[in-house]
Amino acid sequence: MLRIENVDIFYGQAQVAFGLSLAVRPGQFVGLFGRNGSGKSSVFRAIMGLAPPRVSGSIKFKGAEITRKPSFTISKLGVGWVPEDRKIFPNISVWRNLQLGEKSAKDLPRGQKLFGYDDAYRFFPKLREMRDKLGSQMSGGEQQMLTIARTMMGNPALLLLDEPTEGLAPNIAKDVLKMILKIRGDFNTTTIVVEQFSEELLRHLDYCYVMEMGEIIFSGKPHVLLNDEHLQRRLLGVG
Amino acid sequence: MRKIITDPLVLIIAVFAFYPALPYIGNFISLGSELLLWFIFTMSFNLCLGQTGLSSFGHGAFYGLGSYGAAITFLRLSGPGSFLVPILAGVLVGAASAALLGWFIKDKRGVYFAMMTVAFTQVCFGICWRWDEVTGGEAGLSGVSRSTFLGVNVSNPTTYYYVCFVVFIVCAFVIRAITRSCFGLSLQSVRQNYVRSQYLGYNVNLYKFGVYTISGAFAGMAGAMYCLLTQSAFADILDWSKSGDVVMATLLGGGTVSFYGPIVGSLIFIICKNLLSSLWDHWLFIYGMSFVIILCLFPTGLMGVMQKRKKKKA
Repeated sequence: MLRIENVDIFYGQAQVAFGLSLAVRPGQFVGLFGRNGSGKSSVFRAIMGLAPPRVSGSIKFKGAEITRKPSFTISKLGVGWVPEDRKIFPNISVWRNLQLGEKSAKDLPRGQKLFGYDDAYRFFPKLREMRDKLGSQMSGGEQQMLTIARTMMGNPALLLLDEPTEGLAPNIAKDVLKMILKIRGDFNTTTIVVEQFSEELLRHLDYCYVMEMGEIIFSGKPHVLLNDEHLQRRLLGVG
Repeated sequence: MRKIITDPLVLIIAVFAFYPALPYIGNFISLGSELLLWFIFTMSFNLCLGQTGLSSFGHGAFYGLGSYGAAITFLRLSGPGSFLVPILAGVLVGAASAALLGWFIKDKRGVYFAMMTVAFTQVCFGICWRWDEVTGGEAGLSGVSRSTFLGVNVSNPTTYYYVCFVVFIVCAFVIRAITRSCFGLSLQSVRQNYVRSQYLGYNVNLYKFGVYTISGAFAGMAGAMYCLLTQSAFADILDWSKSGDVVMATLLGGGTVSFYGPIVGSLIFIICKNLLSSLWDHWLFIYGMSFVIILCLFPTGLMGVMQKRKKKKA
């Protein structure tokens, strides 16, 4: 579904990723781990065609080259991105935020649209309670739920989650993660999730990568990483 | 029914339906027509500024070109007795010029976008000021007249006022429908954060181009109607100061937070211009000072203040 080959990523003169290559098959749940500044989020920005950064190499989605394509085109092709820091529209109501997320789903053939308002409210009941409230009136956790639901409203074929539990209280983070897993369970959306490290997440992944200083230093089955504390300590500084 | 009665637009329409009968101010019927046209003009501008966040500081160009479009069509093509054709020509010229400019600056943002629009209006001003053969140059174009439309004698100022009134109602409801539509919501998202809109699938530049063209059409319509009101077209209305007036009126009224802001701002601006100027030559001093004071104290304009009060009460 997604194939990244020999990708270099630059911010101006500074290179932040070196010859990255990775592949994601349909339905897979893939994790991309790494310490702060390892270049994980830049990979997502590169996939989404956002500038900066500048990208060289090849990024293919469903066989089509998407490198340097504008982000609205990539979104319409079926890539949904949940960026870090909960980027909602603060002065627009909750349900209107959801409505904005529907844009990419409008080109889908009838019957292919799976995730709708009912699903958004089913997975995140808080959003139903707050549907007429402005985005700015929500807490951090609620804003993250809205960001995930809004992206899902576009019915993406590939979902990119950038540190979805970052900065949330532990119990809220747990709820958000639970819902992400539930959505994946129900819709089987191909997903790549970026995190610094999460044991809970590792248990559910099909495959994982670890990045350091802009390079992939580990790729393999998650249980390898999960069961080897020494490896965790060496690669991620945890364990 | 209650929703209709409490609708501010219905209230504005109700007041202006009886404008000619109002004591004192009702005698200035042309002032009433000018007010209604300014409402259309500022609402069209606010589609760019308030709805999409586009600093179109040269919006007077479309108003002025709409006015010239109507005058030239009347004097050279459709001739005496025509009414609808010059207005449609004004709309077309407004839309076409906005589309032309919009296409070139759709990917510009902030001060670059603003300066391009100001430069465009000055280019248009220069052309109209110098091109004697077509635009009449400094002397402008006169000789436009109003005769009949659908069997109604529109040469009468009161009748023409009601024509402007009907056009205002149609434009106001259409513009409001645009702001409340999915398209309007997308524009709002572009205003709040264009990067977020882009990765949600919105071609931001195309939306900017679209709203700019629509806005230019409405401004052209107001300009064409103004040409028929004054029965002339002059280059003065293309000057950058005219574009400054529409920005000031919209911000003063609170266009960035309310659909009705441009109407409130226009009301203050036109009344100040016409009444204060007859009392004191330096009225702009008072207007300018009040603009600075109000926007320093209340950056969201008068409608912003009202909205805050309403929220506090609630």
